[in-house]
Amino acid sequence: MDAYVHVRGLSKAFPVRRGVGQVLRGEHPVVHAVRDLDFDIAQGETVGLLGESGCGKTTTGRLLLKLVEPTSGTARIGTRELAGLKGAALRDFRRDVQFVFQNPFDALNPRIQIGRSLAEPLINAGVPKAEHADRIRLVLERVRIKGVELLERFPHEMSGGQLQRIVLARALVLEPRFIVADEPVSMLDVSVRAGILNLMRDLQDSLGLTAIYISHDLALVRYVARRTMVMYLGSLVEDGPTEDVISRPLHPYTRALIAAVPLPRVSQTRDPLPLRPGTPDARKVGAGCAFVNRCPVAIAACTAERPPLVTLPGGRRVACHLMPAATQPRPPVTLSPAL
Amino acid sequence: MSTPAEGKRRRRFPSLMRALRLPENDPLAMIGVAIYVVFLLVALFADVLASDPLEILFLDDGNLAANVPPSLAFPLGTTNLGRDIYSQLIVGTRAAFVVGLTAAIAVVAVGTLVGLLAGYFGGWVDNVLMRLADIALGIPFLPFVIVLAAFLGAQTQNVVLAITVLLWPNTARVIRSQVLTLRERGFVEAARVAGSSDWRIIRVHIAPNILPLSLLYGSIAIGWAILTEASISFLGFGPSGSVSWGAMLQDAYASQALSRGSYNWFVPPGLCIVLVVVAGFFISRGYEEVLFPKLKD
Repeated sequence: MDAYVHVRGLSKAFPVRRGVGQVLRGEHPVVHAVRDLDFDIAQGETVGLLGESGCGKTTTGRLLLKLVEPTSGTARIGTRELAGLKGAALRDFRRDVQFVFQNPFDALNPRIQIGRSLAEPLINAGVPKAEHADRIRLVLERVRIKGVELLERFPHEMSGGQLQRIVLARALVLEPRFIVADEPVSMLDVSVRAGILNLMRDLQDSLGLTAIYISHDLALVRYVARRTMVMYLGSLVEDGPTEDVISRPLHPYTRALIAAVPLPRVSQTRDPLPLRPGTPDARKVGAGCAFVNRCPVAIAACTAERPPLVTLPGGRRVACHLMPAATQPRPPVTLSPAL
Repeated sequence: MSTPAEGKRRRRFPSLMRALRLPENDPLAMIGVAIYVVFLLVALFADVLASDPLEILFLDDGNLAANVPPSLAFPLGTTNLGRDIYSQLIVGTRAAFVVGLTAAIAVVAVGTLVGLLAGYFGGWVDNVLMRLADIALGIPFLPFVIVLAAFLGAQTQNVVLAITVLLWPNTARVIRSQVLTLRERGFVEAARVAGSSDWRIIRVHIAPNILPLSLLYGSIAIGWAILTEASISFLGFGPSGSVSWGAMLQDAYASQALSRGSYNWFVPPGLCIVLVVVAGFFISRGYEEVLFPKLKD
C-alpha cells in the first residue's frame, strides 16, 4: 500500500513531576499522551482528527511534524522516516511538511514585519533571494490577500482573519505536500471561519495537498474532511468516512460525541448523553480500554484487555470489544441542521 | 487632545530613543537619557573643559592655593593640597564612565548570553550555568572586590572585572526566565517548522524580544558600577593617582573637609554620583514601561 503518511505503533509518553515517595521508590511516572497509533493517509487525502481536549490530538500533530520525538513507534511521511532525520534531510523534510497554527496572534513574531516572517522559510530552505518577492506575491495571491503594503506591517496591526491567512501563506510559501492544521479556526470569529476553511479547502484541491485537520469540532471536521479519525485518551477509537462515522457511529465514545452536538432550539428536549459520569485522566489508563470508566455499555473484558483497532468490511476501523454486537441496529442519531 | 505640533514637540530625539527602544513620550526616560548625554559629552571633552586635576596651584602672592572657596578662577574652590576641584570633577566623569560603561556592557553581554543559552537549551547547560550564577550570587560584594584589588592590583580593569563577575548572575537569571516563556511561544515553534536552526531562532526570534530587558539591566548596571567604583576608591583600593568621584570623596574625607565646612569639595562629586545613578533608574523605568505596559495603570 503506498500511503503518503504511514504511522505504526506511534506512542509518546511525557514524564510527570514526581512526588517525594515516587523519587524515593525510584519510580518514573509518565502520562501517555499518545499510545500505539496506527494509520495511513493516502496522497491527496484530507483526514480529520477528532477528539476532546487532552486526548493527544495535538501531540499527534507535533509528532508528525517532528517537533517532539516519539517514545516508540515509527512514522513515515513520503519517503522519509521521521526517526533520525537531521541536518539537510531535516531541512528538506521541513519544506514538505508544514503546520497551520491554532492561534494566529501567537504564531507570528510580534517584533518582525509580516514580509520578513513570510521570507523566513525561503531563507532557511536556501531559495535565492531574487526569487523571494515573486514567491511571496504568488502565495499572497493564493491566500487572497491583496496589497503588498501589508508586508511592511507588524502582526498587531492586522486582524485575526488576515493573520490566519498570513500564517497559511507562510505554511504554503515553500509549496509543501503535507499540511498539519491544528484547530486552524478555533481562535477566529465565527464570521471569518468559513472564509478561511473554504480557502484552505480550495487550496488543497488546487495544490493537491495531503492534510490532517486536528479539531474538537465535529462540524469543522465534517466540513473539510472526507475521512475522520476519532481519538480518546491517546488512542484511536474509530476511523472511517466522515459521513458514515457521523451517521452510524460504531464506538460508544463517538456516539456520545455526536449526541453532545448542541441542538438549535432551547426548548427541544434531548436524551441524556450516553456516558457514565467521570473525567478522562490519561494518567489512570490501565490495562483495559481507555474509555471504560465512562462507557455506558462496558463489559468485563473492557477492564481486562485493551480492544484492538479492527478493520471491518468496508474499511472502517473501530476499537471496541463489543464491536460485533455494536454493528447491530441502534437508535439513529439525529443531527441538527446547524452542523 | 494632542495637536500635531504638540506631538512633534514631545519627540525630542526620537531616533536615539528608538535605537535604545525607549518610549519616546516618557519624560522620565528622556531626563535619564539627557543626563547621560550631558555627562558623556563632559567626559569626552574633559580635556577642553578642565585643566590638569592633579596640578598643585599657587595664588598670586606665591602661597599655596589651599582650601580656596569657590571663585571665578576656581569655580568649585580648591582642595587642601591646592588642586582645582572643578577640574577633578570634570575629569572624574571620565573614570566614572569608563568603569560604568565597560562594566555595564560586560555585565549585559555575559548575562544575556548565559541567560539565552541556559533558557533555550535547558538540561545540563542550564544546570551548569545557573549553579555558577548561584555561586557568583553568594560572593559578598565589597570584600570580594577588595581581595581582588589586593591580589591583581588596584587597576581599573580589575574593578571592571570584579563588577562583572558579581553582577552578571542577576541579568542572566531574568533573561533566562524570559527566554523560558518565549521558547514556548507559537512563533518560535513556527520558526522551527519553517526550518530555522537553533541559532537562527535565538538570533532572530528570541534575542530581539529580550533586548529591552538586557538594556534595562544595563542601565541598572551602569549605576551600580559607578557606585562600586566610588566605594572602592573611597576605601582607598582604587587605582592610585587616578581622579574619580569616589577618589575625591576619599580625599575630602581623609583631609576632614566636612569639619572644615568645605561643602564645595564633597557635595559636587556626591551629587554627580547620585545624578548618574538616578538617570539609570529613570531609564530603567522607561524600559519597565516597554516591558510591562500594564504597570502604568
